[in-house]
Amino acid sequence: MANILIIDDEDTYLELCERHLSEHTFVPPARNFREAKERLASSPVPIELVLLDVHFNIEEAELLPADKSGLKGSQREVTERLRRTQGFKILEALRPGYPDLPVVVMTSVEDLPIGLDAERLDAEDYTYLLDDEYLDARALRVQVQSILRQREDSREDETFYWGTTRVMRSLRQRLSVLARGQLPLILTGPTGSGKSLLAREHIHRRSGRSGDFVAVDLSTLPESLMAAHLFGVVKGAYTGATANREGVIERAKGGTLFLDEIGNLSLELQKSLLLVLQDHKYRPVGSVEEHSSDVKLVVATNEDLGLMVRDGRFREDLLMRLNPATAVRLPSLRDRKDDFEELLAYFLRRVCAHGYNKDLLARYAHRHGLSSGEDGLEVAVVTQKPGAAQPGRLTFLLHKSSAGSLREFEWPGNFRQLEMVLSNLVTFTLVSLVEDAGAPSPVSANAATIRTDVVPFPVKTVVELLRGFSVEEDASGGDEDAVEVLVRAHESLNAVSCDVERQYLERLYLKYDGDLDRIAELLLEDGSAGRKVQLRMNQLGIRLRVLQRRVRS
Amino acid sequence: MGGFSSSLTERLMSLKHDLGKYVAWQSANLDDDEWRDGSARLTAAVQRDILGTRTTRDGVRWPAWVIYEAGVEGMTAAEREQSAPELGRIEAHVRWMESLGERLTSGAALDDQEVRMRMLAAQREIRASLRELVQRARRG
Ligand SMILES: Nc1ncnc2c1ncn2[C@@H]1O[C@H](COP(=O)(O)OP(=O)(O)OP(=O)(O)O)[C@@H](O)[C@H]1O
Ligand SMILES: [Mg+2]
Repeated sequence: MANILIIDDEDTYLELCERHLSEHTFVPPARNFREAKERLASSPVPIELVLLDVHFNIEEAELLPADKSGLKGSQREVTERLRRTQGFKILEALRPGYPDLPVVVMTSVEDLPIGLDAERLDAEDYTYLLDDEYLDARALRVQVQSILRQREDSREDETFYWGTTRVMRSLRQRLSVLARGQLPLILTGPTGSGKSLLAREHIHRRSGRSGDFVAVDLSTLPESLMAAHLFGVVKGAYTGATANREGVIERAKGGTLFLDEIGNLSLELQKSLLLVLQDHKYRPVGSVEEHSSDVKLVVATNEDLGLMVRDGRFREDLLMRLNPATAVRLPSLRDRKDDFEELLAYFLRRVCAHGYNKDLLARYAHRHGLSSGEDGLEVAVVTQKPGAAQPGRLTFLLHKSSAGSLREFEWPGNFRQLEMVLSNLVTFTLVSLVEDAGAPSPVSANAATIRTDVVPFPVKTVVELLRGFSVEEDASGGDEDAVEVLVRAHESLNAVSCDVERQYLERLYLKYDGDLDRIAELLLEDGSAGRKVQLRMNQLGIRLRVLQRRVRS
Repeated sequence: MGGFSSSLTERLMSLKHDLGKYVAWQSANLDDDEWRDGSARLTAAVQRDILGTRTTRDGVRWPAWVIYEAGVEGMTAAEREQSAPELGRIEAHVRWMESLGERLTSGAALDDQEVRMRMLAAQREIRASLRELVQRARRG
């Protein structure tokens, strides 16, 4: 079911739709362009489809265009013509603000007003005409259904998972609009909630910009290099500058510049960034010349920028320029419980789709004759005994208690952590089934009763994987430098080594006051690879921000 | 016979919109069974479609034959000629609807299966004729 807005000067469509398309919700109809604009902007529910009439018998003052002075013919003729084609005028006026909102214009190709460019209309992605000349509720219903389905399908292609809740849907719609605007955009939300992914895969893609997407993580960039990295540097500006080097602002020209952890920008560089936003002007380090660049700026932060302004750590004028009124906050995984099952299924498919897991799956499928040719394997997850086997499908069976544990878990590392847990879960589950390929497997021994297309996730593995992440809580007391290993029955080696690695990295982090480059120096003999260490810590589900707080105190 | 003028084409398109679309607006969505057996819902739908084909903003309801008359008003003899034979068929159907008079207003006419079947056929033929006519006009 969907929320549908009818734009029609009479109630004829509304009556018909409420009777025959009752599975959908119809928001109060709009009678003209002005009302349509209002409804779309302020509807409490996201509007997913518009049904737009063509003839509008409305007052001249309400007819588009507002300025009719240039139109040919007597006033009566002009008004008549505008009434007969008003739907298309409304569509034209609404489109720029809602480029991917599906709109069904309630007329068929045969009935298009004379002089209207049918081909252009046809080329529009989200504009549909009626299939039938005379509106038939059944046909309309089929058409609406198929438009909504198409939309679901195209959503499936997205790398960013939105889910099905209203909150997320309207967030998605809002972001699509903000993406196309010229103004900067602030993304907030806890670590691993998808800010970076959103900036790259959704905002940049929908910005309609032809330039590149360039991302900079300001939390891993040494302060001394920040200016050169952002604005570029001219040869000879300082000892190390042996050649002119472009800054990211230049590289993102005509595209999107994503500044992650904007809170780490020094006050001085904040001023320079402000100038970029105000005048599109900047000066590379050591340069007297002004350069210009037009970028769509997206910034992310975990900090409260308003608070930083109060503390004098962030420039108020920059914050104002960043368009704080439209800041978007991504919810944590904890707050996405409403459609958790679907979410789980999505991420499970995702972790199965590449790397080692994909390989393991292919081997498992091959061994049990599950693959159906080129298409690969479809992966599903259920919490109850699945229905009949289907060719080309493998179903993971998640015990109810495991599903409950996953659902109730805190997920401090959010989606990053979820991906890791699920990925490990698939790996550990399949490895034991695939690696002992030589021995006659117990599965084939009683093949009559055991289904090879259903693979249960061992409850124990889920418990272990989740327990692995709670170590940090009780890791405080005792010897500061010690790493502890508990000997437990059935502990997998991988879980043990992750556990040790995690504790080890945490100790180092505390010991070196959070200086990741120093840790990188120590571990990798590369003092500039702090980012790698950070990534690994993230992968292990270490809550860097909690650690940071401990370092500070 | 010459091509259709653009004003005639537009006029016929308006007639298709106002009469063709709305003459069966609600009743076209009812099943054949319901037409055969009759029902209160069917009677209400047909009454609404035929007696109130269009409703003006101030709430005045115009029956199908009045919409037809308004649509062809002022057409020249040559234009009528050009629009034959479709226009003639349409006219015959709306006149028949008009002739049901009080029996349609009270709904009694629609208790008769024969009348219902003829009504269904009339609606369909009005729509089909207008479709053909406009197609012909748009081809020029
Ligand atoms: N909605 C989502 N759909 C699909 N994948 C997601 C989603 N959110 C997060 N992820 C995945 O989770 C991981 C972390 O996402 P991302 O790096 O965008 O988070 P972040 O908010 O930028 O975190 P940090 O604040 O730590 O930089 C990535 O692997 C990403 O693919
Ligand atoms: Mg990030």
